[in-house]
Amino acid sequence: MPRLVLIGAEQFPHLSDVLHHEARRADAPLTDISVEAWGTSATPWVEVKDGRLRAGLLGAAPSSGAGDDALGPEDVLWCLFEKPFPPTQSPYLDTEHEALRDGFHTCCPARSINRRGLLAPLWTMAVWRLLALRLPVRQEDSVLRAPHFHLGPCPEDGRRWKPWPREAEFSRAEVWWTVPAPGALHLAVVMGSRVTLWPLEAPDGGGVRPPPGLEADLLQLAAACGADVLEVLLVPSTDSGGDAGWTVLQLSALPEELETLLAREHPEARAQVEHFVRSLLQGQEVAR
Amino acid sequence: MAKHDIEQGLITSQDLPKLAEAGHVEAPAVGRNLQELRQAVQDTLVGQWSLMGVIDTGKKASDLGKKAADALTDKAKKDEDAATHREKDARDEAHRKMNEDKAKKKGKEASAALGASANAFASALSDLRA
Amino acid sequence: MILVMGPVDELVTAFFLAHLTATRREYVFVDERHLGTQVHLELDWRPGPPGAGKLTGAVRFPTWSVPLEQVSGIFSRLGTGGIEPPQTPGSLAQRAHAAALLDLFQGPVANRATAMLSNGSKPCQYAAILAAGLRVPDTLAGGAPWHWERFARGLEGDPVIKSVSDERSLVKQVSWEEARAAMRPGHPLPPHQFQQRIPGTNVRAHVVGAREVLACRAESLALDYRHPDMTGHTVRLRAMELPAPVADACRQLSRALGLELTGIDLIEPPGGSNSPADWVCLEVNTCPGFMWFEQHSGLPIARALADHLHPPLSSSC
Repeated sequence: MPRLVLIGAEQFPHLSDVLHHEARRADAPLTDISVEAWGTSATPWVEVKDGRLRAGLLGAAPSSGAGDDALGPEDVLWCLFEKPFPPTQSPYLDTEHEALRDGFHTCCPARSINRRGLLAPLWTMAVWRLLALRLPVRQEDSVLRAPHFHLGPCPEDGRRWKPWPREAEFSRAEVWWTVPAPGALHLAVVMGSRVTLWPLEAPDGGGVRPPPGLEADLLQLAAACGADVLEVLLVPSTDSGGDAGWTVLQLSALPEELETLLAREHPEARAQVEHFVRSLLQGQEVAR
Repeated sequence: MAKHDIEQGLITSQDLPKLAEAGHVEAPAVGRNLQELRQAVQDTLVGQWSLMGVIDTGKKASDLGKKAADALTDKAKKDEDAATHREKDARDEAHRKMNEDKAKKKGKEASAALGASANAFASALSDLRA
Repeated sequence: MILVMGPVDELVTAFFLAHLTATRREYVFVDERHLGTQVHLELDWRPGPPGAGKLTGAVRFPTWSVPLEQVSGIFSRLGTGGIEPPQTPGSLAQRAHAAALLDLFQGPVANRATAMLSNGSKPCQYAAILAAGLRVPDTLAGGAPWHWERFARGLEGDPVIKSVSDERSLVKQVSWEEARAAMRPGHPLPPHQFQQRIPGTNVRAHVVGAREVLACRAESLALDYRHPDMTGHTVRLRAMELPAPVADACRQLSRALGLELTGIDLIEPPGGSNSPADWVCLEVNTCPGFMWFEQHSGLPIARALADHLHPPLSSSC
């Protein structure tokens, strides 16, 4: 039976409840490491022996099924949330701890959901750059596209431009975006091989399966970003009609909107999580 | 920098303190066109940092220059490391921002509102539609 | 033309600029200190199918500019040289735009900002190194004293100890007993990396455009040949040809990491071998200071890089 290791799950209490419930149901040992414990009382290690990578956690005893603290390829690791280490007196050691954690994420042989580390574009590249580089995902068949981006002073070309949220706050970059004739804001939740689409501006709307072209693009986009669980904000173009064209506005590997949907007790959201976790624990869904 | 050193094509260990004293040279003037910029770059290289231009690939470092070259390796390695740090700083900053947003959301009812990011886009979209 | 960005007085930047000048290459240079003051980058990214025209823009100087369409490739040493660029919002914004340009430019870039990150954690690179078919020394990073002891006792000879990150550390050989003596009871263990010491000859391979491989042997008795003066040893660099399968593995590794210029630190097994599985890779430098290697070995690294970033007319079609 695979072991389920969660890091930072307490930040998403409703999602955490479902994960715990599914682990109990499957009789899978579960290790739950809080954000505070991760890197302090529970620390990672990485080993290369005869060309094989091994990795594990110290100070994170599983709730059952103890044994070697190495994580194997049958185990499932989901680091939902982590913080930078609190700074110590030694900047050298701070960097070393971060490097070890990045190394653990990259090398851990467990099936890692939304694998982090320095080789993972989702965790290393500004989202707007990722959208620009990854879209369109299926060449001319794609229905998903990126917004039009502009870096520099706001263009004075008669179109309306908006500053890209967040970017200016941490990199100070002047990133502007626009999209012609935007329709209603939607959220797509990709979990493994299933996608649900939620109208965000109609809060009582339920989740539906997206049209096939859009679903194929969203699955491909998640794969291109190295994500198993991905939240995608997107809008249809009102002048292209139906599902002919959608623009992706934002990606997130943090399941924040999913948590909101679970808190509102949307049965489709719960069913999607349950299906994903059951498949993982049965070894049918392959995380990266 | 002594002329004979430049002719030898070497930075000697005696030159290093002078280099350290000299500190950084100013960025070349951008000029009024590409040609002027290139001329300014060339002047800068031929000036204080001409030694960079003259230890060209055809000349081997002699024993006299060995120690200086070793010091250069050291510096070059430091530079190799430094360049990655800036992008990493930006990434760490992004992490911190993510945590702040998360902390703001915490304490709210989870069902109370859209996430910070969705809210920002919803408001931008209503401006774009107006 | 080639766009070069970095401080003019940074060694490798100056060396490459000197090469471009001496070989009469077309280039435009942006000194990092001018970003946000005298030089501004303006970029426009249009959605649509991949191909030319998605990214347009210009490098703007006060009275003139260079359209990105005229730029064939980019060489960046931004962030090096120890300068302290202005911290004004304009300067910070422009440095962020430069990082974005490195990621988004559709031609060759040495190196893209995000691809350079892998050097920040040696274990992150090990996964890519192993996938390329090269060997990684037996290594333990982090762990408890019992891990360390088991690891150290399983090796022939004492392990070396080095940093996990790209922070500079003088590589040292330590016995298990020395490591244990350095532990402080009640204090968290430092996340050092213990590694098997590999016999053989140090080799540095510079890979340009995941195509050209320019390698040299470092003959030195120093444990870390990059800092020989700290141990009293000398070093001599000699150009060499890597066996074809090893060179291919280096190309594959550079490609996998998305890097157009790499400095790969290898150890050649005693007696040599054609099999990449016998060659140990210690690290991939993502912002290599190739100047020193070029000067001492005569390898034409700058020329190969310039050719890659602005191919000569005869090889462009």
